[in-house]
This record gives sequence, structure tokens and C-alpha cells, in this order.
Amino acid sequence: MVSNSLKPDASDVATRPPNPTELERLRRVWETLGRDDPLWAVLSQADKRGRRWDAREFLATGRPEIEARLAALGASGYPRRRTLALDFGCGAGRLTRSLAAYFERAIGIDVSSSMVDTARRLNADVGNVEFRCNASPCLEGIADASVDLVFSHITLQHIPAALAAGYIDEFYRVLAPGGVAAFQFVAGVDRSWRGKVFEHVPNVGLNLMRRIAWRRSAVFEMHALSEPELARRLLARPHLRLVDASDDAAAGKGWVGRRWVVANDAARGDGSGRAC
Amino acid sequence: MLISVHVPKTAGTAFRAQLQRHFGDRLYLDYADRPLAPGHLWRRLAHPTPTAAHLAGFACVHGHFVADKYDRLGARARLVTWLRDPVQRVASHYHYWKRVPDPRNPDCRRLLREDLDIEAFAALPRMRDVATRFLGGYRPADFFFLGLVEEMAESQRRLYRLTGIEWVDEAGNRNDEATGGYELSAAARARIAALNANDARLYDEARALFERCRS
Repeated sequence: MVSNSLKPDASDVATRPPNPTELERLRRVWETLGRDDPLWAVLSQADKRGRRWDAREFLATGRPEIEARLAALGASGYPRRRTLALDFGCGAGRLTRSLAAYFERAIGIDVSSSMVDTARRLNADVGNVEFRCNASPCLEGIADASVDLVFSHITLQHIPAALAAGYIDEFYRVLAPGGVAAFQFVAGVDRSWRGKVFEHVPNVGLNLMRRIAWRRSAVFEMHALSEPELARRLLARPHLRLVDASDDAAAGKGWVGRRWVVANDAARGDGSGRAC
Repeated sequence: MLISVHVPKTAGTAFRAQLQRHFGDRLYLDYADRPLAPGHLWRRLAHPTPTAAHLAGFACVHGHFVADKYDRLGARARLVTWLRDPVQRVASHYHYWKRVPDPRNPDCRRLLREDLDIEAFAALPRMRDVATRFLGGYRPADFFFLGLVEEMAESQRRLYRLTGIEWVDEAGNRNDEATGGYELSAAARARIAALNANDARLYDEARALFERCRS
């Protein structure tokens, strides 16, 4: 019997093009969250709801996360250079700021201009960091094969599957030879009662519960990606290799999260780009 | 965790050797169910799916079992398998059992006792659509990695790119001029293909996915 949990709502991800209204809806939700309570929207701890995050404390959480990730990546020999890092779904710039400490330059991009405004304000003291609003299914303004590290954490899980898969294709397009893309996503649900609720109740119903629980109208959704489909997308690009695929608990209880580390093994100058 | 479904005569034994080399003690072998032989469901009940706690130290499960056996792992499971042209798979199975009999299996015993030819063997009910039964309702698109015996070199490259498992070639358990296949008349091939129509559809689907990944 085919289990839905193995192929959540992304089973048709290859054939279904991203829906422009999904992107607009996503932008509106994050625009509102970025305006109302940007730091809680990024790190949703119950005791921090209602603008109760201290900005310095919030930003400090990024450093150990980035240090741990870079140490793990370094063990596999990637990235080979540290010229440019890209933080996809940067929110308030918590991780972009820390990436900037290890790369010549870091760019944070986010779908929400209110989040980007917050990121610019909170990170005005960092000279080699730049924040861009990108409400497009492509990574606008990022050249092919130009990024040494594409990093994304607790972002793809909030993006509808077809759109998220398109962004992952974009990660691969911008990844420089010797570069690495490290991104977290949700692969499905676990067998807990929470997982069963997430599996069987559609987002319309879950959103209603979220609105009640969080007492706000703009709520973020969770979306799972199909790993087999992602594997096929990777295989279609002969210069890419999945260096690591480990479980990641950041998505929270009930979800099965994964962190993929994809390396670009092309020699410099190999054409690896594919326009969005 | 990789859940590797070993469909008989699809390079699964060679794959097992690669998995043993790569995973060592973290490989869990599950060959107790014997899905081709009568009493499969009883054996599956007698050897239930290990619990998540039992599998905690393992990174991969490999064996002769129906793919849905490990459904309880949910999204933590990444399905892996190899498929082969269904007619060639039947031919390989036929010649293998003549060469290395499995006395526990009644179909094997009958093959030897009655000296069945390949078409009579292929017509045995339990020898039809074997791959479809092993995949247990899953389709090729549900597999994280799906290798094709006819595309061995490219499949091995893909396996490495997705899992880091490097294939060190060995000749064990292979007697069909590697992957070149067995000679069969067009008529025999057509009749065996008709007996395995579900497997043929499955294989065509896997082929189409395989080709889609060619750059």
C-alpha cells in the first residue's frame, strides 16, 4: 500500500508549474508577519510571541548554527572558496549576518520587503552583507555559477512544493564549481498523532487552528517536498552530487525534516547554469 | 534510512555486496519473508518489521521483502531498488534456479522435476509479475534511487551521486553474459512479456523516469 507520508503534497512537483498566486499569497503572509512580529515569525518560540524577542539575543542564535554547519561542510571539503554566500529566506538576517563573518560577501534574500527592512536595520553594523527582496520564482540578479555557499534553513518548508522545487533548481543554477548548497526541507510526517493530523488535515483546516492558537490572521503553512523527485532533479545535472542527506528536527514535532548538502563537482568554467 | 528492495535477479546480490562494503555493521539484512514462495504472509507475520528502536544503529535495510514492509518508518525511509527488463529477469531466474536450485521453493522443485522449458516456467502463477509484487503498490516515481540492470554503468554513477556508495565490480552470482541478456526467439519473448504485462508497464515507467534524468 502506498503511504502518503512518503510522498506528501509534492508528488506532482515535476509536472505542475509554480502557481503565481501561491507566490503572491506567500509574499502577503510574510509581508504581514514581517511587519507585525518579524523575529517571532523566524524563531517561533511561544514565550517570544508579541515582539518579545530581544534583537541581540535573537541575532546571537545564528552564530553557533552557522559555525556548526560550516564545520560539518568543511569536513567534506566544501565549499572550496569563500567568496560569496547566499542565505535564501533570510528573514531578519540572523544567519546572513553570521555567514558574512566567514565569507567575503553574504547576500540575504527574502520574499518579504518588511522582513528585508528589518534585516537591513538589525545588520547595519555589518559591512559585507546585503539584503534583497525577491518576490519572484527565480533568484533574480544572482548570476549562474557565482555562489560558493547557498544556505537555506526553515524556509523551504513554508513554500508550496512546486515553487520550492523551482527554488532548489535555482540553487543549483547559481552554485559555483566547488560550491555547495545546504538546505533544509520537510520530507513528510512522522507516525506521531501530530504527524497524523498534519497528514490528514489539509492546510485550510490547519490554518484555522493556527489562527486560533497564534491569535493572528496571517499564519505560515508547512509544505513537504518529495525526496525521490528532488533526487531526479539533482540527477538531471551531471555535475551535482548529494554529499549528505541527514535528518533535521528544526521543522518541529510531527514533521520529518531533512538537510541536503549538494556539491557542485564541475571544473571551473563548466556551463552548469540553466536560466530560470 | 535506505530501504533496499531486492527484486530477484536484478543485480540485488551484487548490490548487497556493495551495501555490505559501504555500510558494514550498519546494514540490516531482511531475507526471511521469501515473498515468492507460498506462505509469504505467514512468514511476514512471523518476522514483523523491526521497530524504529531496533533499527536505530542501522543505515540501510536490504533484502527480499515487499516494499511496503517498512511503511511504518514514514518519510524517514528512502526506497531503493533495481529493475530489469521483465523477460530477461524471468530468463535469468529460470537459468539461475537450474544452476543453483532452491529446494525450499515448490516452483523451483517443479522446474527441476518436470524439466520445464522457459515458457512453461514463466507461466507459473507465482513467477509472473514478480517485480510488481515486490514493489507492493509503489511505483518507480516513489523510489529515491532506481537502478536499471540494462543501464548498469549509468545506474552505478547515479547511485554514487545520490548515496556515496561506490560500486566495486565483482562477478559473483552472474551468469548471463553480465547484463547482455539471454537469447530468446521473438515469439518466446512476446509470450513471456504478455505473461508479465504489469512488470512491463512498471519497467517502461522506470525507463521513462531514467531517461528524464539524462542531461
